[in-house]
Amino acid sequence: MPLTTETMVLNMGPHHPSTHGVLRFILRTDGEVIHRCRPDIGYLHRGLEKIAEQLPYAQFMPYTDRLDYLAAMNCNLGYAITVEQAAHIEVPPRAEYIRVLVAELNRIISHLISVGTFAMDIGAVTPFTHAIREREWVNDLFEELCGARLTYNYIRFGGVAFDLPEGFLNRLSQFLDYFVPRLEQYNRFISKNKIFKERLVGVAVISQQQALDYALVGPNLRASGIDWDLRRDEPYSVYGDLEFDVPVGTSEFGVLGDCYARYWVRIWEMEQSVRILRQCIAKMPEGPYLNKSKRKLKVEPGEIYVRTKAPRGELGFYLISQGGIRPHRLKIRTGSFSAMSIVEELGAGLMVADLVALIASLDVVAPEVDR
Amino acid sequence: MENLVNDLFGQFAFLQKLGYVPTAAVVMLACGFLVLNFFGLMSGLFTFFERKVAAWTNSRRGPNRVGPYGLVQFMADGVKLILKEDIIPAAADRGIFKFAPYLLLLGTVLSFVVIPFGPKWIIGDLNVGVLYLLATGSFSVIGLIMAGWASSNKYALLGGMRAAAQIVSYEIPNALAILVVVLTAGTMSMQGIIRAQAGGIHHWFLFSSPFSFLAFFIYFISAIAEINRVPFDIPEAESELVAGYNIEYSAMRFGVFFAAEFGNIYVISAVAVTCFLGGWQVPLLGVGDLGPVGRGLGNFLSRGDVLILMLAVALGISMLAWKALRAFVWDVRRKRAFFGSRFVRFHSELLVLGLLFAGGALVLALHVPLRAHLPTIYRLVFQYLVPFLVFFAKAMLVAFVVLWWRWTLPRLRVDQLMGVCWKYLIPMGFACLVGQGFWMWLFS
Repeated sequence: MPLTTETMVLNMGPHHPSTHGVLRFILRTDGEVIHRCRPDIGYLHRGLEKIAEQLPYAQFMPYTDRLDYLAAMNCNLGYAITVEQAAHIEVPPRAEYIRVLVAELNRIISHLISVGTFAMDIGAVTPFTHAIREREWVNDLFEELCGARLTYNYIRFGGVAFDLPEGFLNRLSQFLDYFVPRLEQYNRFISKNKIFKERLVGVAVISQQQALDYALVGPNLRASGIDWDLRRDEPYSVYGDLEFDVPVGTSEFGVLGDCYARYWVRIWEMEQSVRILRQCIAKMPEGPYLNKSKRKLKVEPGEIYVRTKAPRGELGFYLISQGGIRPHRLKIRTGSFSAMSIVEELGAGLMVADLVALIASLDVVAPEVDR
Repeated sequence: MENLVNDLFGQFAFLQKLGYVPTAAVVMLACGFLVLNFFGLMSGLFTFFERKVAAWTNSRRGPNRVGPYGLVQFMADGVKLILKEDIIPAAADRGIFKFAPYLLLLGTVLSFVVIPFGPKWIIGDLNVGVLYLLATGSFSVIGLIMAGWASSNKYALLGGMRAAAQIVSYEIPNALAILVVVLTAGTMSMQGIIRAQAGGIHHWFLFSSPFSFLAFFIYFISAIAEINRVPFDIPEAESELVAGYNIEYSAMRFGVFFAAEFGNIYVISAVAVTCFLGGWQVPLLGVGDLGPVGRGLGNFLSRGDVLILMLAVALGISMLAWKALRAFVWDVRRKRAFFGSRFVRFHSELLVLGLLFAGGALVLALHVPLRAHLPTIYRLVFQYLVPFLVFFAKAMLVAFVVLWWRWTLPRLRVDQLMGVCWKYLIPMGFACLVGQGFWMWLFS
């Protein structure tokens, strides 16, 4: 009698150590090899876009913290710029620099979590705790700045909520001096580890065409070799005055567009953020930190789409106003959502362990997927 | 075992009155009891050790609340596990599900039979010792498959399948590396292998030839793979299979899995020490039997310059006593309870050592007939205690490397794991075996 074999349906998530929150994947596997992988999203849906329609513009700001809780400052910034452009609010230069400063700082700690959990998903626990250790320092800085360590609610329309505290810039440069060697140490520790490379090089390669087809953004797009950065190509805030390179994936370490390239783009991006931060510290102008001219905010009828660069790629706010104090519709476009859509195509043919690497390399954050 | 019984029998008159067979029976029971407890203590301490090493690499503190330095944490964990509800899934195959952890444990405990604790201290110095060890090591795979299958959970099933493939494959390089040792020593007995390494560090099999040097690393890697430690922990890969084969286990059954796992770390370290690192041979001293050292120490103590040594020791002790006194005063001023006091918390190990030394000195001073037995005491110390401590220290060093890897390295993928075994370790193992044969033919 011949042996009959059948494939197995494996339910991965929503409670699974490596689904980063509450993602769910329905896998059809043949032993270790995945035949089909269907992402199932919506476990963290909070109806943020609907909430935005119910609230005055300013009151939606704390909700943007929860949009991507690892990069609350960047989400604040994106929303603030959208409303400012719609309502024509001027931002004083000091506030612009402070905004760029906190956004880049937040990009660093968001990427720290990303590369840390990446290593943890590959099986190394210690890099994660080291990344968290560095992140704590920034959390302390943010706490000093705005009293919160995760959901900051710091940026206001026309500036920021509080001015920089006394000696903040000194402590920030202390952190940067500490952080750069630590990053190098981190690379020696895990990024250049032989097993780590073996696990990631050539795994789940996203070609340039695929990356464009699936509308990947941010580090995932650039890892496939597409040189596109909103900070440089469509500068907003004061990014036009700052010098930085845009890290693009190379095939130097592995294959263009594989998990390892996506990992390195994030490491390089942290280095560039440090560069931007140093320039911000040097250039920080004096003056008011908040434009207090418009207290009662009303937006004229019309629509506007503003995109900024959050750690997980382009963060777009599409605002339709019919006048009044509330938006008629606020559509939020996030990087994690489009990153999730490619999992189904790439997942087929991978092994279970590779799928974990793929999810980690796309740096998907569940609340940003579901909103 | 026979050595120990004969030794004790010859040593103490009251045992001769008891008769040989009852003595042997009592010694056997005592040994069994001791080894089981030693196993329990070792696996407990290894959980503590692992958590401390983890904390150290992770730049954390680790357990430090229960007992001095958190040393009793494992007992608290054990009590917690025993008190928890034992959940068996409704769809599980109950009999197999219940039996699997004990089968796993059995393999580990049985391995302790041939692990030496000293030149004359071993439960059973079987003439097929190493072969026996390989056999008991294979027990674990059956336990793991049973656990994975009986849980009726897909993750557990995947974990069990991975375990089966991995452990069965890695037994081959493991056995090949040990065969190199057997070839060199000319015996399979554990004590025989250690005795073959007598005469200083360069006689240890790790350093005696390039092929056995390579064999050590083959053994070490495949042993780590056999006990499912990182970087080869794919059967329980946390980020992929959640917990692998033990996903459905709870309470003490889960604890038994972990006791076996941590016991296994000691087993593979002990085997590595036995086969490659000279066992209980003291480094820098090329003596199998440590009697002369004991005699030498006795002679040394009778000399005049002992006074200087005594003074140095007295200085150290008085400094420690001064610290203890200050802690004591601190406690008294703040009316601390005795067990919560600084004195006990910071100096408990000092207290124990001091009490032991004081008690020993008192007994020696007061008990005149015992003083006549001083040479015997030296002999016992140097035949049992010192080799055991040396062996234990070496094993701990190896075990530290196992834990260190656990917290530093990422995990391999299934196919890579198999590739490492079949493409590299096994051919290298064969090459070592052949090379060692030539080496011995050339240099003997």
